[in-house]
Amino acid sequence: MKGRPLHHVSRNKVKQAQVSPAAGFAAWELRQQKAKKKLWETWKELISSLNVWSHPLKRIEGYHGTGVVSYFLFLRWLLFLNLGIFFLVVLFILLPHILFKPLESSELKIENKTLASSNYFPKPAALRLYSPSDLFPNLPDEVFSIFQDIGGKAFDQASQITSLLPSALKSDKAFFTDERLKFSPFCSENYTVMVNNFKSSKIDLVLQDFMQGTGWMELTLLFYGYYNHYKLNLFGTTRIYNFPLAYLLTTLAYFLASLVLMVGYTTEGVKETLMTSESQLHKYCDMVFAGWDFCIEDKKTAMLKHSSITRELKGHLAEDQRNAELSQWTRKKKAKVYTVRTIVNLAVLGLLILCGYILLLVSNLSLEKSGEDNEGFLAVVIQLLPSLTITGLSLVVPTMFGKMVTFEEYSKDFEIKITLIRTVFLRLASIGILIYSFHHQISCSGVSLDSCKQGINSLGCKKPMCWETYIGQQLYKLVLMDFLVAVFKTFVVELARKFIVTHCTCAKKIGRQEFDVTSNVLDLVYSQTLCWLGTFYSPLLPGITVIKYFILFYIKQFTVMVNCVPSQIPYRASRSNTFFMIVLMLSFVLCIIPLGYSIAEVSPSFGCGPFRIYSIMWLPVKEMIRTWPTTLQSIVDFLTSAGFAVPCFIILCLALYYYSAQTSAHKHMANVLKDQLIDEGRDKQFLLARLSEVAKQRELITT
Amino acid sequence: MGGNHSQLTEEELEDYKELTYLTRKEIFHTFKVFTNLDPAGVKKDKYIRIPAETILNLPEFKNNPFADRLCKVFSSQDDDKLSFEDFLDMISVLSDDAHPRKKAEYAFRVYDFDEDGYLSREDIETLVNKLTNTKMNEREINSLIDSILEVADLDKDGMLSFQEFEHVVTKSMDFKNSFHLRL
Repeated sequence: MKGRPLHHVSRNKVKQAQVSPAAGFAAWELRQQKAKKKLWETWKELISSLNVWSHPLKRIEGYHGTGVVSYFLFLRWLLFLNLGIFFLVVLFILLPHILFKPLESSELKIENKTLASSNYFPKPAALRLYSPSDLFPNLPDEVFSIFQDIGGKAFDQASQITSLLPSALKSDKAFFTDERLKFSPFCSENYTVMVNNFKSSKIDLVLQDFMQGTGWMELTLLFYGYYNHYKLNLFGTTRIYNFPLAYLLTTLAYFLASLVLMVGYTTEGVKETLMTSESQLHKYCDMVFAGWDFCIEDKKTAMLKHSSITRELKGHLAEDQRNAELSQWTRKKKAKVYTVRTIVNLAVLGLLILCGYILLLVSNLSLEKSGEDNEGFLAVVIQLLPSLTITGLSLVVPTMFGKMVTFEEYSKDFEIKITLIRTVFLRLASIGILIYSFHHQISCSGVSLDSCKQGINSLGCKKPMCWETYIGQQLYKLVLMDFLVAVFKTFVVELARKFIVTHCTCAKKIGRQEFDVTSNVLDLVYSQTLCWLGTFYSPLLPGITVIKYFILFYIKQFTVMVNCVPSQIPYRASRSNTFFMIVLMLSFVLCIIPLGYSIAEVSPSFGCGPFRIYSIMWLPVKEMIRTWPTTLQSIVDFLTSAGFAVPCFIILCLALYYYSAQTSAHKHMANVLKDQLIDEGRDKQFLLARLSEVAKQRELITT
Repeated sequence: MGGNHSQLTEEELEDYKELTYLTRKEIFHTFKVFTNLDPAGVKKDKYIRIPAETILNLPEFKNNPFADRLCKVFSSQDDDKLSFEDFLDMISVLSDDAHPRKKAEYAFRVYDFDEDGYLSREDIETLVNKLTNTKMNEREINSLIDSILEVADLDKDGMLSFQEFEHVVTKSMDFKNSFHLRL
C-alpha cells in the first residue's frame, strides 16, 4: 500500500476492503498481524524520538552534504551504545555495590593489625584464626553443614579446611589457595594505607591526581580496586547477590550487546557492499544517477558539487584512458613498477615497526620516570607521554603514507583504499603495542615479587600492588588525553588556520581546512576501543565516554560549520560506512583477546578488587556451575570439551564451503541469464527489422 | 501544533501515516511547511493546489537542478501545481525510510526528460549537462554515455528501460543516500 501516489488511493475504498472476515482463525490471525504492526510502529516512533540533534544534522547536511553527516550519525550511534553499556554497569555493578550491605559472614576481618606504615611487606605472624564461613563466603549453605558436625572448630591453616571439602570442590585447582586466603586481608589493608599515604590536599596535586587517576581518585568507584568481593544482601531479604559473579556476567553482557548491535547495523550494508563488488564498471552509473545530493541547500555548496562532479567524471574518464594504455606497458616498465611497489610496501612495514618500537620505548620511559618524585607540569607530561605519542603518530604517519603511495602508480580509487587500510593497521597496531607494554609491565618473575605480589623496585620489577587499577588508570589517561587533543585541535589549530588563511594572503597556499571524515572516524573507533578495553578495569569509563562524545558532537559541529569548507573531493559515504563498522568490529575483537586472556589466565591482585580471594578471575562462574544439578553440570562440561568443539568446527567449515559453492553457482547463473537477455534483445531487434521490412514490401505491393 | 491540528484531522493523519513512509511528526512538519507557502489559501481550503514556482522557492529546492522535474513528476494533475497530498508524496518518497525500489521508480521519471518511458542517449546527455553545468565536451559525454550503456543496457537496445535502470541503481548504495531529502 505504501508509496502509491496518494491521489490514486481512494481511502474509503481501502478502509472498506480492510474490514476483516468474521471467520475465527482468519480473524484472529488478522488481529495478530494488526497488533504486531501497531507494536512495530510504536517501536519505530520510540526509536525516532532518539533522533536527537536532527536539526543540527540537517544544517550540516545542507552545507556539507551526506559525507560529513555520516560521521555525526556514527558518533550518535556510538553515544547510544555507550549509554547502554553504562546503564548495564550502573544497574548491576554500581547500584548493588552502593546500596546493598555485605553479608556479615563474608567480610574478612583482621584482628591484631600490626602494620608498619612504611613497610609494605605484610607480617603473617599476626594472622588470626579463621572460621570456615569467613573463608568460603560464596559456597552454598549445605557445605557448612560439614563443619557444623566438626563442632565449628577454628583452624589455623586454611589447607586444613580445604582438605575437608567434598571432593567435587577440590577437583579443579583450588578455588581458594592457601596463600591468597592468608594474605588477602592484609594486602587489602596495605593497599588502602598506601593509597591514603599518597593523598594530598594541595590544589595542584589534586588536579594532577585528577589527570592521572591516582591519589584521591584511586580508591573510588572509578577504578576496579575499590570494589569488594563480598556477597551482598538484598534489602530486607535473605537473598544473596553474588557480586564477583555479577561483575563477570555484566562484562559478558555488554560485550555481547555491543556485538549484536554492530552486526545489526552492518548486515544491510555488507550485503550491498558485496553486491557492488563489480563497482569498477558501475562507477559511471553511480556518479551520474546517484551523483547529485538532493539534500544540499546552500548555493555555494551546490556550485562546488557541480564542479566536483565534473572533476570526478573527467578524472575517471582520464583514468580509463590511462588504464587502456596500461596494458601496453613494456615488460621493463612493469618490472620497474613492481619493484617500486615491493620497496614501498617494505618501507610501510618498516615504518609501522618503527612506530611500534617508539611507542614501546616511550611507554617504558613513562613508567620509569613516573616512579621518581616529579611534581607539577613535568609529571603530568611524563604520565601523558604515551597518549601524546599515539596521537602524534596518527597525525604524521598517514600523511607519509599518502605521499608514499603516489610512487606506486595505482589508480586513484585503489590509492585511497590502500592508504586507508594502512592507516587502520597503524591505529590497531598502536593499541596492540600498548596492550603488550601493559602486559610487559605487570608480569615479573616470581622471585622479584613480595608476599602481596607487588614488584620489588630494587629488583627491577615494577608491578604495582593493584595491577588492574593501574591498567584502568592508564586507559583513563588515554581517554582524557584523546578528548583534550580533540579540543586542542579544534580550538587552537583549526581556528588559527582559519584566521591565518582569511587574513593573510601569503598563506593562501595552505588553504582552508576541509573536514577529513576518514581520520575523524578512525579517531572515534580508537576512543571506542579504549572504552571497551577499559570498562572492566574502570567501570565508570562508559559514562565518561558518553559525556566525552556528547561534548565532542558540539565541538565537531562548531569546527565543521565555522572552520571548515565543503570538501572538493566527494566522499563516498555508503561504502565507507560499512567499512568503518568492519574496522570497529576488528578493534572489538582486538579488545576481547587481551581481556579474555586476563580473565582466564592472569591471577588477580591480592589486595584489591572483586576477585581478590580467587586465584583466577573466571572462578566465580565455575563456582556457580558447581552449584547446579549434576546433569546440567555434565552438559556444560561436555560443551566446553574438545569432543564437542572439534565436530562443531568441522560442521562450520562444511557449512562455509556449501555457502561459498552456492554463491559461485549463483554468480555463474547471473552471467548465463545476462547473455540470454542480450540474445533476446537482439532477437527483438531482428524481428522488428523484419516486421518493418515486411510492412514496407506490403506497401510497395499495394501501391 | 494546535492550529494545524484543526486543519489536519486525526483520521487523515492516520491514513497518511499508513500510506506514506513518514512518521506523525514528519507529516505535521510537512503540513506546517506547506501551510507557510500560502497561509491564507491553505486556511481556506486545505486541498488547494499551490503553483510549483512557490514551492521551488523553498531553501531545499532552490539550488537543486532537478527541483522542477520533481514538481512535474509529483504533480498529480499535470498542471504544474502541487496539492498537499502531492507534496507529501514527494517528501515521503525522498525520505530515509522509503523503499529503494520506490525511489528508483520516481528517479527514473525525474531523469526521463522527454517522458517517453525510456532513458535515451539524449536524456542521459541532458542529465549529465545538468549535473556538470555543461562543462563537458562532446567527446567526453559520448564516451561517458557509452560506458553507462555498456553496463546498464542489458538488452542492448541503446536505451534504458525502467527495469534496467532500477537494476543498476538499486545496486548502488549511494543512490539511497543521495536521493534523499529532509524537511
